[in-house]
Amino acid sequence: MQAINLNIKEEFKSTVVGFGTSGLPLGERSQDDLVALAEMSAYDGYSAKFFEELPTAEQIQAYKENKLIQQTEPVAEEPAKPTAVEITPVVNEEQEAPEQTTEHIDQ
Amino acid sequence: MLTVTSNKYTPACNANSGGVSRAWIFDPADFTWTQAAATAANPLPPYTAVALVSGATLAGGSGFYPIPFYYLTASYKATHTRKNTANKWTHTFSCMLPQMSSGLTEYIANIQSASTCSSIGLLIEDYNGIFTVIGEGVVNGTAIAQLWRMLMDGTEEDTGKNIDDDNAVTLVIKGDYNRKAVQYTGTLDSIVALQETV
Repeated sequence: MQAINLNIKEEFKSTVVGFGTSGLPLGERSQDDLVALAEMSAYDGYSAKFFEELPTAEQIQAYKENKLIQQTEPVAEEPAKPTAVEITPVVNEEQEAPEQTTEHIDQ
Repeated sequence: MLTVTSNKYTPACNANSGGVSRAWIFDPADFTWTQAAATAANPLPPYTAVALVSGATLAGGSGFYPIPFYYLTASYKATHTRKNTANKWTHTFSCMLPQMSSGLTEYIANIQSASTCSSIGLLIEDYNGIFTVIGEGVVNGTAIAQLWRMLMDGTEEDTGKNIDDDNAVTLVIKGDYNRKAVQYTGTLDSIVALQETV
């Protein structure tokens, strides 16, 4: 993965830009916040100047993809389910068993 | 489609409540709002960020100023009309500020001055937690091409007559513009961080 430099210039570390769920100064923002800000710098006309080195669109995309992969929990493998239930007939021998005949055929 | 690209609207499946929960006043020249490029499907994207323009500082008096209106008295309404191809939205914000006093007179006089010399920006949060920006002046670092002036117009002061009548000022701020107001996607914390500090 390409390294992403999200360092904020010293003079802008206390600058406040309201976005997302926070209004913390730029020097206290999370990496995800700074990636979002770097993304907005493409059209906001001012935030590019905050970064020591503005990440490229490819670096931002790679960061987001990697984040998504990290957030995606692997699906746990479940034990194989039986496809058919084996039914063993229960036979009540006293009731079901055919009566023994004692007939003899005299020959 | 031959002439328009229609889009879909799916209402949120949550409780929908009327009323304005919070409102702030600001100098439209002090803040820049970030907006993605318009597309055929979304000609009016929301604002995703807000920052003070270069030179404006909280210490210097810039910032969002909360409007101290009385609970459940604030509303915002926008009405669309048209003449041939020209569209007009009349935006009206009103709220009740209790108790006539010199402090309130000073407050209203200040808004009147702002209405005479420049204009007033409004940021409101409705009871669904949605933020709407009205009368902003700078978008993506550039002053918006068509000036949007929101001005105090129709404000009323009334002592009431009976003991249980309100003694208050009903503040009314109005302005016409060629489009609907745009929403801001950040949360309350991101606004509070830019509230006035003087």
